[in-house]
Amino acid sequence: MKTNTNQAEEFVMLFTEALRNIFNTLLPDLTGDEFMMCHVTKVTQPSMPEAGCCATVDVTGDHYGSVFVIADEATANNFSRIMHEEDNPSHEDRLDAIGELVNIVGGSGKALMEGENRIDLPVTLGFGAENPVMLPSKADVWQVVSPLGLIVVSTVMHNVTGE
Amino acid sequence: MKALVIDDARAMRKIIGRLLVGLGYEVREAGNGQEALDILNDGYSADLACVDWNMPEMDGLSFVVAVRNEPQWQDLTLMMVTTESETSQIVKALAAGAHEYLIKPFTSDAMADKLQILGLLPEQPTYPG
Repeated sequence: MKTNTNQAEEFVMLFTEALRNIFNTLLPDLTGDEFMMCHVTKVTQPSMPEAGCCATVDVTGDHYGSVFVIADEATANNFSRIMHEEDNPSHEDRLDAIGELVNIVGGSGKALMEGENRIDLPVTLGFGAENPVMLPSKADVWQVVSPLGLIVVSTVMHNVTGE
Repeated sequence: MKALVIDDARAMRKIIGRLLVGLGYEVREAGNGQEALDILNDGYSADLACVDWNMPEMDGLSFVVAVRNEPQWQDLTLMMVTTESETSQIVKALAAGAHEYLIKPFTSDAMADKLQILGLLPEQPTYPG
């Protein structure tokens, strides 16, 4: 098994690139608007939102690990409004939208990895003051300033083959 | 024309459904392969099924295999719409009986192009929004 800083950065860039791709293809098509490019910054101590939606998907195979997408309520609401075409999306709508987001981000990132890999079904949860979201201690975390709000993308990923 | 949109994410079902309705389709939705089979068994005569790969209960590949094993549904055109974009996965789905493959995230133009290839694109498409 092998993992190092460069590899971790390579992984997370795959996933944030996939996120950028969503802003360049799917969302403009749904809204008719052009979206500004996302600004991605690696952070050591992310400022996590007080409340919002978290979605995660596991990758298994020659690589294994997890991808997380975390959005505050307003950002999740913005995504949900567009994806569900609802002016007032419900909490379930917001979770569903962020779940599909991590599915696309995870799937697109996986496709760029070497070897045979699979992704599991996304798992979503809402979080707040009483149940704050916690990332794994060794997770790499990136903040993505997107046109729809701040998104936290995080990965814990290992290459089992050591290549 | 009638379409069946099969995806466990409601957001994606709505997005695909919106595009297809804009193209003139009547659309029904299913949250997984088994729900889709139930709808077909109830007599819904779809011309097209847009099928996600990773779903609970029955995944998209199992749905494709089940449909191809039923002679009554041989005219149903199957298009995978999924994040599974490796060549090996595409080959697997096509070998199982899928007719086309669209990778998420996609554009409405990409969807229309695939339908045109399949001969399932109405002559004057109008996109919503």
